[in-house]
Amino acid sequence: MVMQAAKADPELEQRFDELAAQWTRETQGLSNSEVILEHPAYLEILEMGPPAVPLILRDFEQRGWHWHAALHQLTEARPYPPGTRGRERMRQAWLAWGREAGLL
Amino acid sequence: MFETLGPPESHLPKLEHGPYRVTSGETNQYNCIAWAAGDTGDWWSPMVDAGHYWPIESPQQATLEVVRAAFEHEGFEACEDGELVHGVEKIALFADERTWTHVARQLESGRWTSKLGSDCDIEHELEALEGFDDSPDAYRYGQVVGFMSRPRPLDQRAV
Repeated sequence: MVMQAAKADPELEQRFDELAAQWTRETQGLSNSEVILEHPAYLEILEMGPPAVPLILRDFEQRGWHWHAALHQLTEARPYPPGTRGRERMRQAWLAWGREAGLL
Repeated sequence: MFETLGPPESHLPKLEHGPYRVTSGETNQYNCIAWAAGDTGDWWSPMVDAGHYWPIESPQQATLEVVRAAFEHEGFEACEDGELVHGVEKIALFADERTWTHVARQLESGRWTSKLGSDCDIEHELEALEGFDDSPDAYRYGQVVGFMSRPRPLDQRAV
């Protein structure tokens, strides 16, 4: 998928921040990823499409969180081999991918 | 932008009824299943396409059966209850009316240890995590629906 770093849309950014905060607050105690990834706030972020990717990468860089699936779904990329273990290792691979793509 | 999580009893009010303590800080590097299995480097989930680790090949659906199968792979088998047995490590599986919600691991003292999602680890009484509170701040883990056990690893046994 061809992507490019766009100038941040303030309205999109504000809505993203609201949704990400809600998603975090309402799923922080959950361990079941299936439930975490069907939260309405998360699904609304996915509906933003590729313009949300730089915002996700920024959030991923600043505090982590469960962004692996969203990045994979929105970019079709997977910057680590299947079967890779280690949450932090995968996060760093995504951040390196984002920098390489000029999205972070 | 993001609020702090607040103390565990603000999400699990029953913790106020008995002693509990926080044993490590909040992190989303691992979840309760990983913690119960002794792994603090991966978030365990059968949804491996979402960047998670799962020890067995299985449908990418987080059913209670799939969770039981993963722990069988880790050497656990179903057992009757959560009574303390010397040399035996037990886990308690939680579920609500829909799916699995939580796994706690028994310590050698007979108390239980849990990783609360992306929040902290705590040592607690098992019943303190049960509940169906629908308030926005509640961690809604439902109830214990089964126990599993395996021989306690030698490095965790008291001499």
